[in-house]
Amino acid sequence: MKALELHRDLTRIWKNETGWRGVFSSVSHTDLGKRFIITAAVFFGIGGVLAMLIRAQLATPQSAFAGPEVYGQIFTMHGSIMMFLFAIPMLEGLAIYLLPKILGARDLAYPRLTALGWWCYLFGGTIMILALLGGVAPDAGWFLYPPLSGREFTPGVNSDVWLLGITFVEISAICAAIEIVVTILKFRAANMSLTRMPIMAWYLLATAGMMIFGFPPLILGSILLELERAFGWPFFQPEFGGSPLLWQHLFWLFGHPEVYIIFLPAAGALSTMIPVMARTPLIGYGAIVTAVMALAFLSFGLWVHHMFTTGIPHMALGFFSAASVLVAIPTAVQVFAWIGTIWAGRPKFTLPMYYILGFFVVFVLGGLTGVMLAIVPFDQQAHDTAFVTAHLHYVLVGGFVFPMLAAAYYWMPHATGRTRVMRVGIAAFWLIFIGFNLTFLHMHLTGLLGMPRRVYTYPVEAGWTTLNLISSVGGFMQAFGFGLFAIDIALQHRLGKRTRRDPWEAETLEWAMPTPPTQYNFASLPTVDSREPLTQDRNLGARLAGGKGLLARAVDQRRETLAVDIASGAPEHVAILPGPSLIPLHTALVIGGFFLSMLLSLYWLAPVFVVATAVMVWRWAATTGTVNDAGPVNAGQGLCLPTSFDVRGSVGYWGSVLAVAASGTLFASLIFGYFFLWVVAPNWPPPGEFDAYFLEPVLVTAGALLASGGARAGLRNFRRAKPGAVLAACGLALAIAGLLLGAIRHLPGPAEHSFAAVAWTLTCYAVFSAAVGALAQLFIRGRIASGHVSARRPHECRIAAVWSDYGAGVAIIVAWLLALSGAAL
Amino acid sequence: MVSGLVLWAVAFSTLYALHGLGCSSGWTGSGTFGLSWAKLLLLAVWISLIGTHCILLRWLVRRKDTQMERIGIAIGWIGLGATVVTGAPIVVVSSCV
Amino acid sequence: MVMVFLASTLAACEGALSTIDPAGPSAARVADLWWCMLGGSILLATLVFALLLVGLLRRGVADREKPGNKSVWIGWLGLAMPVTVLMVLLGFALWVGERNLPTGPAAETIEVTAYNYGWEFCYEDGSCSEDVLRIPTGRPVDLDIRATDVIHSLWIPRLAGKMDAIPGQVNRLRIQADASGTYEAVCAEYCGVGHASHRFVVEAYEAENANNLMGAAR
Repeated sequence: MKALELHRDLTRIWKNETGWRGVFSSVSHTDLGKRFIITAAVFFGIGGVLAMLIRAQLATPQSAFAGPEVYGQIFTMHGSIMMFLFAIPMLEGLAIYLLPKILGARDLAYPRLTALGWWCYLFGGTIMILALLGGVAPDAGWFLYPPLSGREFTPGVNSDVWLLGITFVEISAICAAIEIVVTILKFRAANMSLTRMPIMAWYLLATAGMMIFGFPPLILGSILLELERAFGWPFFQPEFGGSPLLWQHLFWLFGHPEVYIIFLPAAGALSTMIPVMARTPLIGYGAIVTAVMALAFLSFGLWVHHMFTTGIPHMALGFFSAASVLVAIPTAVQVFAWIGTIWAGRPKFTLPMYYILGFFVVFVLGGLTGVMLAIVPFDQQAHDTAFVTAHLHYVLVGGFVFPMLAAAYYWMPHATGRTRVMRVGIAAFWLIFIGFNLTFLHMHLTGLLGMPRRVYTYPVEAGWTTLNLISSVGGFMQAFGFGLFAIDIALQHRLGKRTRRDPWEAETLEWAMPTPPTQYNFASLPTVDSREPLTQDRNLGARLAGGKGLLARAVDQRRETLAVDIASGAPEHVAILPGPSLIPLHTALVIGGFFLSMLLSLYWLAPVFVVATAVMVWRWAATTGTVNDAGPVNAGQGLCLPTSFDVRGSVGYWGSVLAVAASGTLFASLIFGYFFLWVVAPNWPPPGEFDAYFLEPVLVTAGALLASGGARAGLRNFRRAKPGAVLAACGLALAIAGLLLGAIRHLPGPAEHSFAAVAWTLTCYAVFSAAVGALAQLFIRGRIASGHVSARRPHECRIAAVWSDYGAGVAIIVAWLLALSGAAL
Repeated sequence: MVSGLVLWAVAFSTLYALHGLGCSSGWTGSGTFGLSWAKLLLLAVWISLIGTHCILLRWLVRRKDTQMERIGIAIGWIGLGATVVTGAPIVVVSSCV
Repeated sequence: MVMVFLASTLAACEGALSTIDPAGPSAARVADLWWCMLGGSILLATLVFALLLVGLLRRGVADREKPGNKSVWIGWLGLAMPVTVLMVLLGFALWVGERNLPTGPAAETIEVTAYNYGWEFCYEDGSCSEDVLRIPTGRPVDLDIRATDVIHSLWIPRLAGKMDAIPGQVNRLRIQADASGTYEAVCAEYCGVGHASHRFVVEAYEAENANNLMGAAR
């Protein structure tokens, strides 16, 4: 009876608001995870239709189906959609849905940020699709190389749609990445130390870490190219000291880690499913964790292998070739660990297993051709041919789509509580598997016979006719397979038989809850002492539902989950999570307003939306926290823990540190761009006389030191926090003034030369960072006045200090860098 | 835990940056042993980076009680191996062509 | 039977743009590299699939206390084997790459300019030609490649790997044709609506009367 009461109370606390308002204000990770997955599946369908148009066009030589203008939009959008609107959001959706459940938590670290991410994704993706329907979609290839994508050769809005739409979507990727890392580090079951985490958590930790460092270069590149297109700042124009290669470096610095960002979560799903299907533990947990970390790092040393034909000296190519070869080794470790697990066990031939075997065949072949393409002389022949098209589809479809199809069948009973109907899924598998190989296997040969990528037609004499026709037949076969898969999933959702709680006899905590899951996941939270808590105790789910775990309580309207020590997993505090809110939707709309005004060239309107965004973020932050001293709470089983209001290391702090790390990566990429242009680009040094200057950087340094001192005074002694915050904000304002003064007095106009363009960009970035820091400190002052921050609850001071210190540091670096550049030029 | 790979990332970036700087500043004049200055500099930096890896590894192996520490040691070895292999082209390949 | 198969395979390799029907030393080295890698890949794929198949069909014990053998699967198959294979391959690759570089004297250096949508070739004697590149046979020729508008990529598949034409920089590519004849070339980097037809041909002339013939043609 007590268990039912607990269930009723928790349902009341965790449920969405009613009606349409509930749809717009939901912050539940289960809802949003499903929304991400379904939205990504819809975009996959759209990208798939574009693929069919490509195959229809190429089925015969001299086809009159599409002209080169339309074809340019089709292949550009096919690649862009599949990468940015399908693969990344799909893995985010998987992580968002699954992560709290496998870690034994009730929600993610920042529920409202999850919602913001989804709205940004939806709006950004919609802009792209509307552009496609309007016939003004991007058409310079998914890599958008300037000068082709620049104003001169793409005068229309096409490239802007890509730059702004994709950047809008990437906001959601950064949000998700920060959220995933903090959730894994802090929101786990009691006593789940790092090495007791389910292997999937390690994969997602690596993936999210890579996203934090991988996406900023792309975002920076997009900002630079948009600045060039909108205002004529010549970053990529050699006649003004720019270099088209800078874009390629920034793009691929993101683009190659991206491949592993896509692959790792899928590999995590495989490492989760294969032991369950083989009925034996995964071999080499430690080795796999090591391999995953190695992949996460090494994959940042491969980007130039997309640039082997750009005239870079052979020794530099050698560095990247060697790194590209090395990255195959951790992948091999995983593949053999999986095969070894299957070897040791007694595999069940269930539907997920079909797709897992499909993965092995397709991915291993893709990996082998990947090693070939790491080889410089061979790549110089195969680069930009159909060979690469074939290779990348083997890797991405093998390494992501097949595992995701397996994962769909594996976790469908979890999401719906139903099992599959009939044998439609097996027919779909054979259509997809055979269709895929029929499309792409001999496409390697098509490439070796000289067919370049991105040609809308080809002559009969080239000898590629039969090969292309077979590819097209295979492509349409796959399309039928994916259609059948969609039908099968819909059937299972509507007609599937109700299943028992843990149909696969799995190892991980997501199966220790009712299916379909409740909004609060667990009625009480588990304590674990091994990696496979369910294997140890098959009744764990029932015990937790009966309130026999931690936090089996329902107090007021408070959404509670457990936060643990990062390394040991010892319970640390009770995190209080926010409930339904319209703020994420409104924030996304305001950000969308900014992107739309940029897209429509209403440049006077854009700053209005920037201010509005700042106001929204302020309001957002203002709704957190409490003005009451709550004191420790009883977490059950004799544990008495403080709440997240009263602790120093709350998730807000860790999230800020990671956000600053992402911003710092963008800054580092910009500095890289500065020196890259200086060293490599033609037409340097810039025309005109430059001298070093000292007045302004000294001013900036004084302001920055003042800011840091003010923040620090507040941290040391809370009584000084209020004046300290004001001092910090004033110091940053002084730094901003110094930065602007220096730029105005000493820099030429940004459109004159790439030096000035980068210098102005650095200045703007430093001003922005310092302004964010100043706002954070002003916010703290207001919070102290309102009683949210007090001597007992000072942790928001630490968060503000992260932002203001970062702003101060950036201001100092930029001021001195620019002031001293004059002397060197 | 990931210090070995962080050091590799530093080493890799350093070598790549030095190489770019060397070639664009034209340090291709011949130094001693019939090698160009750019190549000699790269060799010296590469070898000292390998040395740094070895020092790091010695520091890592001092404790191997927990699984996290053992993973850290493995990653230390991986970092060392990666720096050796990714820097190997310095020895066998011509610098700036 | 084997002969028929081989003949048909070789026939499948032919084509005006085929990288595996090389007509110059650079492309020939890469083609050899390709066949070696293809052979190695087939062996490795066979090994992996065979292990997987046996693993599926044999009835393992599925004893939770006795997981699989780590040193065999991860130590030998996952680490030792790939490390060995890959290091050999990397060494071979760097050697081939080094030999394909434009080092040592060339018979001629030709200025190439790519633009939307055509190719211009200017020779050491001051003459220029459009969309036809004329070279002597049997001797290395260096191409200094530029672009005036967007990025292109010069690719003569039967002679050598490709090299991008990038505004603001000059990239050098060494080519050599072993026999006289016509070789087709395409633009490999997407350069806009005319990309598919952005092509040219290479005409190679025998060495003894190359100058006369080329002079006449130029």
